[in-house]
Amino acid sequence: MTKNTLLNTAIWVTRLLKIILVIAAIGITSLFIYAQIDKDRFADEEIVLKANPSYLGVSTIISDVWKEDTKNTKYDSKPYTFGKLKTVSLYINYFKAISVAVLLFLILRAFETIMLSVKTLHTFSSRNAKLFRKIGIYIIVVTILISYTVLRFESGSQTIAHLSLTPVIYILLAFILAEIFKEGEYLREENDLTI
Amino acid sequence: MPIVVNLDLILAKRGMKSNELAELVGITTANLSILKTGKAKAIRFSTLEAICKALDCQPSDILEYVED
Repeated sequence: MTKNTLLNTAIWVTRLLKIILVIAAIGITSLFIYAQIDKDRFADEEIVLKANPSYLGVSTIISDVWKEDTKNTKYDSKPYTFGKLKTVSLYINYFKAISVAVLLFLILRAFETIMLSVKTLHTFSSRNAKLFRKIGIYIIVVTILISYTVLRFESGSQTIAHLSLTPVIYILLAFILAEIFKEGEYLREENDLTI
Repeated sequence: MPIVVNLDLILAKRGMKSNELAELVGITTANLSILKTGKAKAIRFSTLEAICKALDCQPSDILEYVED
């Protein structure tokens, strides 16, 4: 199956997305390092979390300013700026973003391996079944990671909780495909050993 | 598997080699080897018919049921 244009296009798109992900991860890391070196550069940049529009799910933002500070007349008019973001919060969110990028890269790599096996007519194999199961697990982890974000500032915090049914459908699809490929492998083996 | 393939025995009786039979039946020597070693999961009626024709025997001469 070497002249399947759609399959070849999908493989190239996957490779392109992998490159974009690597560039994005390098960009985030560079920005993270730069923000550590030159803290004043982004100090006044305001951080505003936005809820993701979702057809099948909920997305909420909870913004909070510490009450003790408002009582002590230390009311901060701009509590959500980069300069006031706590270092621990910055580190946690950076590692979260990198973890999501790594997991998305692994998902794309698994898809690429599956598509290459389809191209070489080795579609139904235990390796592909395992890869689909892995994709399902990766999507579970990505969903958990992106469903909850907390940014803690010196005098306040912003929390975003996002629950959507869309990833659940993807997870189910990945596990169903894993089972289909496992069954396919059994049928292929049965066919190969029929003389 | 309790089904035993006695192809080696019949081949020896007929004085025929595996590759000769494979050629007569129209299957590869690799597939004939799978059949002889008992790794095969199924045999097509067309293959069985061709083997019986080539070896001038009955299916019961090739296949035998032996309890485990």
